[in-house]
Amino acid sequence: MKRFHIVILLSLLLLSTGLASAGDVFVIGVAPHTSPRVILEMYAPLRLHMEKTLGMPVEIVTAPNFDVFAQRCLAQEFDIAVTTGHQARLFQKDAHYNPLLTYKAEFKAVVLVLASGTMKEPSDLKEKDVLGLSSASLVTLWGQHWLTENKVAPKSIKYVSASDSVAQLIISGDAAAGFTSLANYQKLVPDVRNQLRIFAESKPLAGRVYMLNNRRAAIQKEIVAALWAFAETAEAQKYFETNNLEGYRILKPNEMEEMDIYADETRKMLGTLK
Amino acid sequence: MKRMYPWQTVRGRLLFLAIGLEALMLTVLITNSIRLLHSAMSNQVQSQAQQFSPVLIAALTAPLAARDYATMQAVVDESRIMGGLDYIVVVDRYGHRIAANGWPAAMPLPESSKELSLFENQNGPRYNVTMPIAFQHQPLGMLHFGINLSQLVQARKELLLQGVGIAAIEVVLSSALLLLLGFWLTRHMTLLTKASLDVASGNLSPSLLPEGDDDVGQLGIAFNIMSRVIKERVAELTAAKETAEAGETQLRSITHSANDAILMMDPQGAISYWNPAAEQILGYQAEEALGQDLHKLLVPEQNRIAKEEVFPEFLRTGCGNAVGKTLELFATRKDGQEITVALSLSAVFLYGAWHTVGILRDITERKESIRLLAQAKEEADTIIRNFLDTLIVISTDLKIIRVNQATCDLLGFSEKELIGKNVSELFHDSKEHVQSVFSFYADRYHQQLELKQELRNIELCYRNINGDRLPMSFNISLLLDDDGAVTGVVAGAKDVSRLRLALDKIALQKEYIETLFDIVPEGLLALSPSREVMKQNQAFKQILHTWSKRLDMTPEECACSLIEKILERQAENDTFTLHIRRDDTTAYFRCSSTVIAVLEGIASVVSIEDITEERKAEEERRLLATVIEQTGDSVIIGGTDEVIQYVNPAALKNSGFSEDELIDGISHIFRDVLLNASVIAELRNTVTNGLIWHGHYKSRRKDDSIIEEDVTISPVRNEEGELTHYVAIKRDITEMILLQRQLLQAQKLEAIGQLAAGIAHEINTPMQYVQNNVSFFEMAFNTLQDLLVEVGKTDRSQLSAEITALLATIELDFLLKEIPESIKETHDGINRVVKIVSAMKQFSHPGGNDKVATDLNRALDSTITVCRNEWKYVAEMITDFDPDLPLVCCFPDQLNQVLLNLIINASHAIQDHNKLDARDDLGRITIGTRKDGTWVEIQISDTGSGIPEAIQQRIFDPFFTTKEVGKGTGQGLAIAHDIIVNKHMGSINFSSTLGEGTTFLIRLPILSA
Repeated sequence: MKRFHIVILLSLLLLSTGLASAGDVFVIGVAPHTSPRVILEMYAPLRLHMEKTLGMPVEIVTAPNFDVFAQRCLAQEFDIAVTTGHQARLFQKDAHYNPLLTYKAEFKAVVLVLASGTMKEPSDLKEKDVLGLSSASLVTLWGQHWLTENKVAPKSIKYVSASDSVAQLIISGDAAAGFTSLANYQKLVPDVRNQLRIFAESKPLAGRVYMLNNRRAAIQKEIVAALWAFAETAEAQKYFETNNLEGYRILKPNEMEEMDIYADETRKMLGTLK
Repeated sequence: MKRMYPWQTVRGRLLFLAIGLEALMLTVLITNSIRLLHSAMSNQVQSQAQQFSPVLIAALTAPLAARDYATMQAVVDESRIMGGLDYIVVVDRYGHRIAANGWPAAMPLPESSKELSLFENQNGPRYNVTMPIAFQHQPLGMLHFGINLSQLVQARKELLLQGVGIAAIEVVLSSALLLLLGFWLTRHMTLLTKASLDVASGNLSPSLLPEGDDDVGQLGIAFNIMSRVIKERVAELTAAKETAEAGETQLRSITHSANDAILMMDPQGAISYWNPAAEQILGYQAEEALGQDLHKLLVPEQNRIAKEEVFPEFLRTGCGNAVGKTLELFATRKDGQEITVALSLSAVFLYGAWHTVGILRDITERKESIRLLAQAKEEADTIIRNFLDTLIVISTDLKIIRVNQATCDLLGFSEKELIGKNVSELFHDSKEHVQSVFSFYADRYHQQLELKQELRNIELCYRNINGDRLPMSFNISLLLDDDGAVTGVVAGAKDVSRLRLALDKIALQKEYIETLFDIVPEGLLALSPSREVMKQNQAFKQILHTWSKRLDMTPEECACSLIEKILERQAENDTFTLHIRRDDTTAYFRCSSTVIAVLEGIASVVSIEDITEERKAEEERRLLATVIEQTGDSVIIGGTDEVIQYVNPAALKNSGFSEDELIDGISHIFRDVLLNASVIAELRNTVTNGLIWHGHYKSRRKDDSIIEEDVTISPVRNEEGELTHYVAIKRDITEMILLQRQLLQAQKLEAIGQLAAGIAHEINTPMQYVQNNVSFFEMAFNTLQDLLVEVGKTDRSQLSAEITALLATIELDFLLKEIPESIKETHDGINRVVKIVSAMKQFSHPGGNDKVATDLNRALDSTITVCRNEWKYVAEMITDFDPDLPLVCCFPDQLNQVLLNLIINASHAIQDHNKLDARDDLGRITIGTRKDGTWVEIQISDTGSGIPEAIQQRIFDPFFTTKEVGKGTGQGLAIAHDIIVNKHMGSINFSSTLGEGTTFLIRLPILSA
C-alpha cells in the first residue's frame, strides 16, 4: 500500500512538473539568421529529438526579424532561444535566460564583396551602399563597428532578411558590400559563393547560443542532457556537418560577457523600437 | 368529310415524329454537355485547389514559422485580391485564427467540400478546401480557403439557357421547314382529297388536278380521266334513276296511302318492304322491320311453322298454300300485343327470285266486337233465363216471342206453349186493357207525342194454368232498333201477392210497436234525421209534464231543452246522463240512444229515464259515506259473524292497525277490547235483541298502549228485519278521562285546600294563644330562673324551714335544667304545627287560571311537610335547595300535585323495596333544586326498588300502574307528565336502576312560555 501511494504521488508530481504536460508545447525560438524555411529545416532533427526525449510537442519558431525576435524573447515566449551572442547576452541579463551551450564552429562575421570587384580597402566602401542582415543581427552590428573602426561612412546601410539575399544583391550590384556570417557565406551555393569574396572577417564571436528560459529551470538538466544526446545522433551529425557547426560545446568563461557592448547596442535599439 | 385534327393526318404525324425526335436528341445533347461541363469544371476546380494549396502553404509556412502575422495577413490579402478565392483563413496549430480574409471572424469555418456543386447552396457557389500547413513534419497550422465558383455556376447557367434557347429555336425552325416540306409534298393529296369529296358529294365536274410527269402528276392524270368517265356514267344512271324514281314515287304513294299494311318478304325471309300502315298496325318502324325475319318478327311463336316446310317450294315455284288467299291469323305487335289480322299473300318474281307480297288488315276490333256481341247475347239470355221475376218479350203485334223460366214456373206453362200466344191470353184483365198496356207506345208514337220509353208498376193479374189470379206489378220497356223504331216490348213483373201480405204484416207490427212504444215505462223519443221529433211515448210526455211544472217551464220549453241536450250528448256516447236545472231545482235523466238508418238518413230513438230521485239518494249516500270517512270517531262494521268488514280511517288511526290487519277475514269487532267475557256476552245479547249498546271500555292499540273508548254498538237489519251487520262507533275518550281525573283530583285538592284553609284558620288562632303564652312563660321563667339559682346556691341554714322543706322535695336542679328544655320543645312543637298548617294552606291553595311566579323551594318544602306522614316512617328526607333559585312561572297547585305524586311514589318505592328485602331501615329521599340557564331543575331521588327496564317506556302512559288493585289508578305519572310537559312546556324524565332506586328530573322554564 505504501508503494502504491508513492507511485501515485510521483505520478502527480510528474504531471505537475510539466515534463509530460498535456497541452504544453516546448517552444524553441531560433533567431532569423536565415529564412524561416531554412530555419525549420535546419532545426527539424533537433525538434524531433527533443519531442521524443521530452515527451511533449516541440515547436521551432522564428521571427520576422531580429528585433521582433528579441522582443519575443524578452517577452518570455520561448523556452529555448537560439540566437547570436549579443542577443543571448541581452536575454541573459534582461530576461533571465540561462546559456546552455553553443556550437563548436567559430562564428565569425564577414564583409563580402564582389569577387570581381575592385574593393581593396575599407575606404572603398565610402559612399557605397552596404547591406546587412537585420540591424539587430550580430554580423550587422559588427559590420557597423568595423565601418566605424575603419572610419568608413557608407552611403547607406540596407538591411535584408537573408544572407542569400545579401549575396544576390551584391552580385546584382545593388550593394557594394554586405555583412553576413562566415557560415552563411560558406553555405551559399557555389555559383553564388564563387562570385563573392570575403573582404574582412571578425575574430570569433559568440555565435548561436542556446539560452534556456528560467521557467524551464526545473528541467534544465533533462534539456541539456537531451541536447547532448542529440549531438550524438546521426541526424545531429548531419546537421552539424551540413551547417558547418561541428557540434556543441560549453561556453567559455567570459564568452558571454564579451558580448556586452553588442548587447547594450541591441538594448538601445530595442528601446528605440518601443 | 369529317374534320381531321393535325395529329390524325400523315403530314402531322410525320411532323410530330420528326420534332419529337429532334427534341429528344437536343435534350440529350444539352444534358450531356452540362454533364461534361460539370465534370470538367469539377476537375478544374479541384486542380485549382491543388494548385492554390501548395502556393499558399509555401507562402505561409515561413511567416507561420516566424509567427509573422503581418506577413501572413499580407500573403492572405494578396492571394485573395488576385481573385478566384472567396476567403482565406490561416489557423495556427492551436486553432487560433491568425490571418483571414473574406470570412467573418465570428463565423465558424466551413467543412472541406467533398465534391463540386455547380448549384447555388446556402453558402453560395464555392468549393471549400482545408489543408494542413506543416514543414519538416512540424505542424504549423491549417489553411482554409474557398474557391469561388460563381463564374462556373454562371457559365453553367448560361450554357444551359443558351443551349435550351438554341435548341428551342432549332425545333421551331425544323418544325416550320418540315411543315412546309410536308405541305409541298402532299399538295396534290389535298387537291385529290378535295376533288374526290366533290365527286362524292355529287359534283361530277370537279376541278381538274394538275398533271405532270412525276408520280404525283400521273396521279392527277388518272384522277381526271376517272372523274370524266364517272360523270358520263352518272349521267346515264341519273336518267335511269329518274325514271325509276318516278315509278317508285307513284307506287310509294299508293302503298303509303293504303290503310292496310303492305309488306314484302325477300327470298331469305327478310322483310324488304314495310309501308306506313304496317308501322301503324304492327308498331315497328320501317327501319326496324326492314331486314328482319318476317316470321320471327310478327308471327307468335306458337303459330310459327318451320320455314323449311313451305319455303323451298315457294322459292322454287312461287306457289304455296297461303299464296293467293286471305287468311285470318294472329300477329304480334312490337309492344307484344297479339292482334288478329287478315292476311292476303301473293308472289312476285323480282331480281331473279320469288318475293312475297302481303297485304295485312287488323281485324282485332271486329273480332272483338263480334265476340262482345255474342257475349252480350249470351249474358242477356242468361239474365233472362235466370231472372227471378217473370219476363216476357212481346212483338209489336202483341205476340209473345220470348219468356223466361220464372214466367213458365209461375204460370205453369212451358216456353213452347207460351211462345206465339197473344199476350192478352195470359191475363185475367180485359183483353182491351192488356193490349192497350202492352202497346202503350202506339198512340203516342202515332200521335207524334213524346215517346215514353217505359211504364212502371202497372198492376195486372196473370192467369196461371189453373186459372188462378196472380196479381203482378209490371215494368214495361220498349225494344228499339237502330233507327229507333219500336220492335217490341219487354215486360218484367213481380208477384205482388206476397208483397201485399208482407205489407199487411208490417202494418200489424207497426201497430204493435206503436203500442209498445207508448206503454214502455221509460220515456221514448224518436228523432228524424233532421232532428225533429217523429214520435214520443206517454212516459216521455209524463216526464215533460212533471218537470215542466217543477222547473217552471212550458212542456215545449222542457222538451226543447231536453232534446237539445240529448242531441249534444248522443254524438259522444250511446248512453249518457244529463240534467236540466232551473234555479235550485235540477232534474236528472239517464238516456240511451240508438241510431237507425232510414230512407231519409239516420234517425235515432232515445230512451229517457228520470233518475232525479235516484241521484238524490246517491248524493245522500255519498254524504253519509263522507261523514263516516271524515269523522274522528272509529266506525267498524262487522257481519253477523262479527268479522270486521269495514273500518273507517279514524278506526285505523285510533287503533294504529292497518286496514289489512283489521279486515283480514278473521278479526272480529271485539278484538283488542279489554273486557271480560261476561261483559262481551252481555253486549252481544243486547245487540242481537235489536237494542243499541252504549258504554265505555278500554282497548289495546297496536303499540300496546291502552285507550279508553266511548262505544256505541248498533245492529243493522235488512228490509226483512234480519240482522245483517253490527256497527260499532267508538270515540277515544282517554284524554277526556285523563282530564276528568285531573279535574277531580284538582277538585279534591281544592276541597282539601278549602278544608285545610278552614282548619288552618281554626288552629291558627288558638295556636297563636298558645305560642304567646309559652313565650310569656319562657320569659317569666327566665326571670325566676335567676332567683331560683340564687336560692339554690344559698346556704340552707339561712333559708326558712318552709323553703328548705320545699327545696328538699322539688328537685330544683332537675327543674332548672328540664324546664327550659320543655319550653324549647314546646316552641318547636308549636312551630311545627304552624308550619304544617301553613304548608297545608299553601299546598291546597286553589290557584288561578294564570301562571304565577312561584318559589319552588317553598312549594317543595310545603309538599314535603304535607306528605310527611307518607315518608317519615320509611325514609329520611334530604333536601338540597338552591338558595338562589329564581321564581318560576307556573300553576302552583298543579305543580304541587306533581311533586306530591312523585314524593309519594318515592316513599312507596322504598316501602316496596324494604318489604321485598325484608328490611326495616330507612331509605332515603333526596330532593334538590338548581338553576340551569333559563331553566330550573327539580330532582327527586329515592332508594327504592327501581323501575324495571321492561316497563320504563310506559310509566307515563295513562292507566298504567304496577300497584295492586285499589292502590293506584295509574294516573299519577300520566297526570304529572301532562302537567309538566303540556301545561308548563317543561320536561320530566327519570333514570332508574333496579334494586337501587329512581331519580326523577323535572325541568321547567323560568319564564312563562
